[in-house]
Amino acid sequence: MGRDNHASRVARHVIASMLVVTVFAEIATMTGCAFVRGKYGDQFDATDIESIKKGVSTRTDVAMHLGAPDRILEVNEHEIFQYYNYDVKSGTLLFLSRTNIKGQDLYIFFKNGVVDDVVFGKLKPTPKFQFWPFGD
Amino acid sequence: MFYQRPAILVLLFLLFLCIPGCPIRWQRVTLNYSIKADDVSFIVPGHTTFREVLEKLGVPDQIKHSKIGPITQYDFLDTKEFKVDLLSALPLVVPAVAVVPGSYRQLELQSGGIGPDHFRVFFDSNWIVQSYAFEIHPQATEYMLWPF
Repeated sequence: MGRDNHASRVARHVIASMLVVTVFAEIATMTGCAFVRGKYGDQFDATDIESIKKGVSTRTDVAMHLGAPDRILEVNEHEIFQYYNYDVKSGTLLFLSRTNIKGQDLYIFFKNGVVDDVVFGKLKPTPKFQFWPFGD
Repeated sequence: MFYQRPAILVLLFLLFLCIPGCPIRWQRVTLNYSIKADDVSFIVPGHTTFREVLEKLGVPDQIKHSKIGPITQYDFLDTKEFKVDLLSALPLVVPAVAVVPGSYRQLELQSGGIGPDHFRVFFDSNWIVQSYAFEIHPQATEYMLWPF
């Protein structure tokens, strides 16, 4: 009787140990972990933006420094060139995955074909690599 | 029995999670950081200017035209998805099933939601704030274990 109990206890320990070893072996050898980084569009160059002068620079000057705009808007009697870019960071760990995307925008306001305002202020914080998909 | 012990059950669950092909997944995609009501408490309709909004909240994601005046829009998006394949562990229990191609022995439950949230500021033609509004869908993005 005592020997049977001892044998079943040993068997349970062996099974538990095998499970632990299997789980850790699986985790150690699996490929379920990834870091991914992607970008859409070029980051804004501060020197290019500083070279744009209000009341002086024309559409041609702006296009020469920043390239063709991603979008052209007509708002409040202003023509607006909009430039934007996106930064993507994605982390995957086993069964958890989180992707963070941040967009940055730059607006150049024109009045009668000349720059009236440059809207490029506080930058959004860069995205983080995260795995945890819960909470904020 | 050994399977009555919580630690062993946890280990079995971990083993289930480690099955190739990821039988279970929580996935989240976010665009920009959300703007909270506290962040916009400085806005006083009739007084606050476009410049002041830019300094505090940053450059908007969109500027739109309306008959009354311009509208700036800040976009933030939260997408959550939960997925589980209930039959992925079947070959562990019935090894003969392993000969069936993976896609033919799936019972996948998937659920989630997209919360396209926005914060809009309405200006008059002199770029003075007239009003502002949130468009938030907090219940659109929740992990749901059961899609039915």
